[in-house]
Amino acid sequence: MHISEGVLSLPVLVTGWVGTGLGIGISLKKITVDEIPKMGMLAAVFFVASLIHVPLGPTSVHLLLNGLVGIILGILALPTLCIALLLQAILFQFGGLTTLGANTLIMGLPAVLAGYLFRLKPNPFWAGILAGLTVMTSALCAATALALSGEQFLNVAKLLVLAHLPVAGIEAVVTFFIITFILKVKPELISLK
Amino acid sequence: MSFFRLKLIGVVIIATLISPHLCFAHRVNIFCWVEGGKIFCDSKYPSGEKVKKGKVNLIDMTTHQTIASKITDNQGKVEFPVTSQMLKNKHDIQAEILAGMGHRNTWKISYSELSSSGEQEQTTTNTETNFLADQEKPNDSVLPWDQSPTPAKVKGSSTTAPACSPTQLKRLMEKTLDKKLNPILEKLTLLQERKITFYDVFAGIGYILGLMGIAMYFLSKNKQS
Repeated sequence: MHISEGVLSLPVLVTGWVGTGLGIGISLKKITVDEIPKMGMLAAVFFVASLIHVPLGPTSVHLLLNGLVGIILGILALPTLCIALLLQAILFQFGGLTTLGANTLIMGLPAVLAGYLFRLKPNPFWAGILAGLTVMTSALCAATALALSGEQFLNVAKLLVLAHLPVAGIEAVVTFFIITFILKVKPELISLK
Repeated sequence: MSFFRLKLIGVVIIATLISPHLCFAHRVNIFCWVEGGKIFCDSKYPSGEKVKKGKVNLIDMTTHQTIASKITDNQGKVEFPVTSQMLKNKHDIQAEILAGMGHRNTWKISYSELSSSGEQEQTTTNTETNFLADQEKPNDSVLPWDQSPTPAKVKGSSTTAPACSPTQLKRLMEKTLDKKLNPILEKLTLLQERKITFYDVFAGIGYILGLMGIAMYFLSKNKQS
């Protein structure tokens, strides 16, 4: 889901940066000192999650966990994911610097949406479903960005959605257990405002 | 937990396990080397999985025009001939792999690589062609001294030992060596892959903690003021 350098067209790159800039601008106004450690912890989780490969039949998949980040942080998921994606681009060469805006928007927008939807019905089962849907929505956002840059939407969307179906399933289960644990042990970690 | 929830989780897990095999990677790598008048490209994901049916474009780095395009085989490999046009242009070439789903990477092939291999191959081919032509050329001369048997025939051997000049021999040896060295060159090129290490992971986490500290510092300063 990390789109590489030189793949997206200029209008898509600019839109990505403008959208990410606006989102981060709005979210920065809502940051409090209490939120910073949570953001740091989840940025580290997202940063490392992509390296954890889970063997699955003949192949292996890795986690994204953008749904979990969105559920816990809400709109603060945008700057958190942006930092993690920036470090992934610099240190792992995942994605790229010019595509950082678009990649942040692809991962971040569904995550923020999941955060809002979770607050309507805060329970672990719903969180699991939202986490799975976040992955699929991110895949569709990536397909849209690629389609706007010249690729055929249906082909790319089909490929991306199929490729991320196992990831969505695993993330739904993982998020379900994590949110169950958090709500039992430390529910104040998720601000339900 | 209700039975319905358990059933749904079960369905998700089963759907996950039976999903079709597709590539999952963040980065795609391409490695190219020039040998025996050909550009060899090998593409793979960091996990080691080969890029199947990926598109490889050769782009002239000066004019930014696509010179050639091919699709990788199931081993992630593709090869292009070094054309006379490439040698004539004297431009560096960029090999670009497009593996779909936004995955792209490039590899630079300098003109010096192309020229050394291309010229060598051209000379080898010419030498070989001349050599074979010499062997197959019928002796049309009617003069008695042109009808003399070759040294091998004089010795009464049934096989004719071809007369081979040192230059021809050198070229043929070079061609044989090319064939032998190609797998070694491939391995050497693939060794250039930059793998993710624990240092990278810890460096990233360190950066995150550092940024967290800076953010907390400024937020607490604002609070105090």
